Amino acid sequence: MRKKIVEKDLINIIIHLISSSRLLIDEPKEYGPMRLFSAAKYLCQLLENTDDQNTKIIVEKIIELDPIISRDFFNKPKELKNCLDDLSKLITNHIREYDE
Amino acid sequence: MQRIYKKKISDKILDTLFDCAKKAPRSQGNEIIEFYFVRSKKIVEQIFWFCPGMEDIPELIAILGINQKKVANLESYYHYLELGSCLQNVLLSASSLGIGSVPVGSSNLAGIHSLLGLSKEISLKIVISLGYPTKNRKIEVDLSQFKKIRSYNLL
Repeated sequence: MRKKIVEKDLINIIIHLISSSRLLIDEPKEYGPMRLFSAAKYLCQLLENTDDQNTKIIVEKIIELDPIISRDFFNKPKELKNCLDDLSKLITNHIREYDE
Repeated sequence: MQRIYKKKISDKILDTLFDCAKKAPRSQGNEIIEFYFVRSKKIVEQIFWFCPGMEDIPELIAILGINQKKVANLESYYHYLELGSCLQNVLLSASSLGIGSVPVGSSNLAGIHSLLGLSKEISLKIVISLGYPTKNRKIEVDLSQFKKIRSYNLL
């Protein structure tokens, strides 16, 4: 069953992005990818109950990767790059199927 | 996104945390440190979104600030020492009571200040998330750097 996305959920994610934008001025650059990925995770959580199988695969993968990105790959740019490249490929494959 | 806490932080424990924070070494008669404990579910959730560094919505949020009206010299670092002592007391007392605590550096303090409707002389400095851990998370700390004693002071 689809989760009803309410304005409040989106506003919360906007607050997260604006706060991150402000804080990143003073924070180490390594925090940047983490903050963007967290925002992606929050959006995915709104799509968690999607009926579409391709969207579900993308969403579940992003939610699964979020703690790994923030805990294990912090300060490991090479691993982070590989992880995000693999994720991008996975997303591309599934949106292709989505279009077909 | 939100953890479900099996155990709630009682009023008595909240009082203890506040008491320990207040009892940190501070200049007598100059109560410059301000303490805020937020446990309203709604406001805690609102604060959470202003703290990108927070992983989950906690049960309780403590915020420490400085009342700039009571600070004679804003350039002095002494009030930061006092604030650090208060912060450490909150963290240590929470830990001794089995409560998990995280000082969250990545917090949009201007947003939180406005959200709480605080007066302009209050300058918020640090947000602490508090709650009973939902599961035993083993945290590995690399202490190898402390194996060598670099200097030893025999006074």
